[in-house]
Amino acid sequence: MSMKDKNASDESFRLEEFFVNSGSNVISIKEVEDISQKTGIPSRRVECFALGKGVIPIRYQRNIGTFGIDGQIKLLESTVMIIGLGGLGGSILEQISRAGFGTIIGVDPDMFEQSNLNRQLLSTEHAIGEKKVAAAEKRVRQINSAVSFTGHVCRLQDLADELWQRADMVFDCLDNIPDRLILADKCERANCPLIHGAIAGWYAEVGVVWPGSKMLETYYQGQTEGMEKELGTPASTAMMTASIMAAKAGQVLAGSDLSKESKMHVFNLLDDEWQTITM
Amino acid sequence: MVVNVKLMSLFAKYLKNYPDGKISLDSAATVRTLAESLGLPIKRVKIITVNGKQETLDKSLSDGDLVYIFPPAIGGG
Repeated sequence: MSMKDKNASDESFRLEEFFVNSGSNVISIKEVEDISQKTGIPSRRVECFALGKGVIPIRYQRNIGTFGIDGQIKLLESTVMIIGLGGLGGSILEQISRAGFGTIIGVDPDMFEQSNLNRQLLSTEHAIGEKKVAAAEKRVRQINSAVSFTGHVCRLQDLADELWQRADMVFDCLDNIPDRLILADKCERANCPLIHGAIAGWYAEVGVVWPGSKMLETYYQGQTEGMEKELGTPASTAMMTASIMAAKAGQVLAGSDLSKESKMHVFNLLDDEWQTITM
Repeated sequence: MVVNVKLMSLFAKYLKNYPDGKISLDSAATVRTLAESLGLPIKRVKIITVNGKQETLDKSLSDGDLVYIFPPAIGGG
């Protein structure tokens, strides 16, 4: 038996006694925390164990119909990276920490400015001048204490190689094409799916970039500039796009049977159109 | 032949004289022919779809094709 298997087995043995005679098919946040404190096992792993026994953490009750128990366990066991904690990244963070994505790594070099307030969920008047990563960490703590959040105040180019290997999935919430292509290359090398999203005015695009597809290079066709400077970035487009990105991530991680075809979904909120481009 | 054209976002103005989006072209027309006839800035025309599939300026068009041309969205919100 490997050391990892032995540790998991020891952990299961220690947790078992709390569930043998519980007689309940749900478990509260306080009960999870109590077990975590008594055993020294992180809340996230207590929740996973409970789910494995068919005991649903109440906080995830309304997830189960969508993801299933096995899917919820996969979400809790997943490690995801959010590159960019602005309008897209902040809204994704809100959703995936509620959903119970177990380990989140957030990356952004910037601090909040007044021009972020129209759309960036993590920004408030009091947070002007605060690092986006610090606001993200606080928000995750408020929403779901079982989720592990680690922040990095740096550009994606400065992240350690080891982090890319840990990620099961990465969210592309950047704001320019050159950096997006660098990110796609990092994910390609780490054999990690990338959830891409971008917005401009009433327009947006979302796609799952599967390793080996080179989808972003194909899609952008050498273009380096977009249209968001002229069209702006309203909250409704940012949050809609973040929601679709979070939905796609949940489907991929929870094991939905998704096609691995390269597709970009393009949204036009002005004319009520959703176009799926096959590449 | 007649193709159905949709120009989104900043390109929409190039279609203002064709409210129904129907453009008549010679039978040998390509997307480039179409873009030039509408006065689109060719250097900025990168994202093109014909009947839902991404194509290039050299794609030959057929009667009834549905063509979308638009600049990419790249903002991170």
